[in-house]
Amino acid sequence: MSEPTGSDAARSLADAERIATLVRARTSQNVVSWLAGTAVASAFYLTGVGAAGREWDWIAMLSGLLGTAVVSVTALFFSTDVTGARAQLRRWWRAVLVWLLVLGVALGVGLPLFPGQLWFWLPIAVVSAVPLMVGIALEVRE
Amino acid sequence: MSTAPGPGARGDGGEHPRHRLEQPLLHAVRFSIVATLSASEMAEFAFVRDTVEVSDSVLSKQVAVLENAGYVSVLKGYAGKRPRTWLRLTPDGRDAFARHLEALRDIARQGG
Repeated sequence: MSEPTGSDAARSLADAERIATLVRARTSQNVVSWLAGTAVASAFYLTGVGAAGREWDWIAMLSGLLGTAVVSVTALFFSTDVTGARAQLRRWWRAVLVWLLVLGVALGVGLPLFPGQLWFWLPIAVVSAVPLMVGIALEVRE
Repeated sequence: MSTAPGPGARGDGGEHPRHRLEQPLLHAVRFSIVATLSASEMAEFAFVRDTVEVSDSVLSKQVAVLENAGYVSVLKGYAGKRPRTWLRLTPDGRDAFARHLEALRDIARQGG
C-alpha cells in the first residue's frame, strides 16, 4: 500500500470533511425536527392547559397526549439510521433539560395561581418554546 | 497502531509524518468508513454503506478488518422484526483517526 503524497493527503482530508458534513447534515435534520415539533407541541399544550382552567380531566388528558407524543417522537429519533456525535447529543440534552425546567415552573406556578387566566398562559406557552428554539439556532449554527 | 519509523525517517530528530499514519486507515474504503463513524455516535450498516458507496460485502469485509484492529464495534439488534446492524467507533478508533488526520495535515502542509 503506497504512502500518500501531499496531494493525496489533501484529497483524503477533503474527503473526510465532505463525509463529516454529509453525516452532520443528516443528524442535524433529525435534531432540528425533534426540537421544532416539541416546541410547537409545548406551546399548544400550555395554551390548552390555560384554557382548561380547573378542568383536571382535560389537563390530565392534554398531559397524557404531550407525554405520549414526546416519548414516541424520541423513540423514533433514537431509532433512525444514524445518531449524532456526542457533542450534538449534548446540545440536544441541554435544550431538553432547560425546556423541562421551564415547563415544570410554568405548571408549578400557573396551575395553583393562575388557572384559566390566559394572560398568564399565552405568554408562558411562547416562553416554553424558547429553549427549544435556541437549541435549533445552535444546531443550525454548528 | 502506527507504522514503525522506517529508513525514510529524518535524521534531525523529527520524524516524517507518514510514520504517524495508521496502517489500517491507508485503505480508502476503511478511511471513509471511519470518517462516517467519527461524525456520529452510532450508524446503521446501511447508512454507512450508502454514505461510503460500497456493496454490502465490501463493507462487511472492511468492517471486519477495522473490528480486528479495535477501531470499530459492531452491535446487532432488531427494529421490530427487522434485524439491524449498528457500527460505532471505539475510543481507540476515534484516537487513531484523529492521529491519522493530524499526520495527513502535516503531510499536506509539507507537500509530501
